[in-house]
Amino acid sequence: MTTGKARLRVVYLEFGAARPALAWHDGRSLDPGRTGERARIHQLFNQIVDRAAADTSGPHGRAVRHAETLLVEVPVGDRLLVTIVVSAVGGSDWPTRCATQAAEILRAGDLDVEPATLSEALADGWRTTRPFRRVAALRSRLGGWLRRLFRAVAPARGHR
Amino acid sequence: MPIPIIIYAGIAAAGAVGAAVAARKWRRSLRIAVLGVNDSGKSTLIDFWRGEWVEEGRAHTQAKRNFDRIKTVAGDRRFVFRKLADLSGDESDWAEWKGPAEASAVVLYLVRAVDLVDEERAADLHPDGYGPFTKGWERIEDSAGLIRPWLDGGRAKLCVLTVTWCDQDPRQAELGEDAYRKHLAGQLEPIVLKLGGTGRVRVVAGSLESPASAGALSDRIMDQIVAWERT
Repeated sequence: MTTGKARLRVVYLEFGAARPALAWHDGRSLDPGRTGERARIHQLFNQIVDRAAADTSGPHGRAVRHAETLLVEVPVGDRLLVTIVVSAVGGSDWPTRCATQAAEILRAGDLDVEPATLSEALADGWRTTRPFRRVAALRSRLGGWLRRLFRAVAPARGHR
Repeated sequence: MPIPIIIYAGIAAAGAVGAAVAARKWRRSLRIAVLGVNDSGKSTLIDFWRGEWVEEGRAHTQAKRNFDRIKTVAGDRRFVFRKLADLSGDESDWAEWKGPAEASAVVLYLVRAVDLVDEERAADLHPDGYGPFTKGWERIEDSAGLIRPWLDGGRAKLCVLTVTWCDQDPRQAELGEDAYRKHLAGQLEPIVLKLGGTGRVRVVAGSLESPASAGALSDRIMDQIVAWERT
């Protein structure tokens, strides 16, 4: 069930040892010195990953979902990933809206990323991590096996 | 004649279960934590164990990855790593290393060889005393100091201080392999002390530039773990 208005929570990108990570959390850009506030971003990541109902990888990157919160990791260049967290996912245009906002934040950090790339990753991530998707896939596979078994057994019964 | 077939099937199933149980026993089960600053090779090593080598190099791990079980082989020994987390090496995530460090029997602490090269060069410029420590060395020292109390208070009995990416260290070719390892051990003495001393810490070195070199480094790490378990 999706209820609230989607809200961009985190935009985060690490450059390795060479340069401090770009960190944006709940409306604020965090300077490298604000270690405590930056640590809260990782706490949030860990909460989502540890409680995830689904953690998948696809053509648009990794998607992790906990309740109505979605975390996506999207490749945006040479060995670079941007991690985006959106909470209270809902509404029809939320991927475009959140992706546009995230692209603006990245642009402010001198990184040009097409909003469409992020938007597709968000939409795809939300779709592929929907609850009970695995159960549904297992049920359909089991159904297929049972149907095949029934077909194999039925003629034998008729013969007898 | 369905009954003999059922009996044969039962014997085969029991054999398969027995073989599976035996294989499981032969596999050494371990809980380890893999820690280290950015670019030290944590994810590369974990991906090697998972059989998921990324040829062109992988992006930095930002949101952690959890692995319930990783089965791997080192030489003729088989291991299962339980509940292994691939963590970010960013300073802002160091506090989150605490949980895995305290819960694990073995802590691998990875440091990049290039940070040691930079530190030595900086120290050479200031032979009369402590030079301005490089950022890389400071990060290693700071994170090692953070890990120490988790080792003291946690389950970990062994810390393997692992120098990675040695292929990028020109001193290896200059000194030769054995002398290079001794040199590294000398340079890392302050870090070994920070982590709890030689009673707890073993130093190994190697490269992660290819699956073969990662395999060799992994073997050295496992040698230390096996030797420690025997004591």
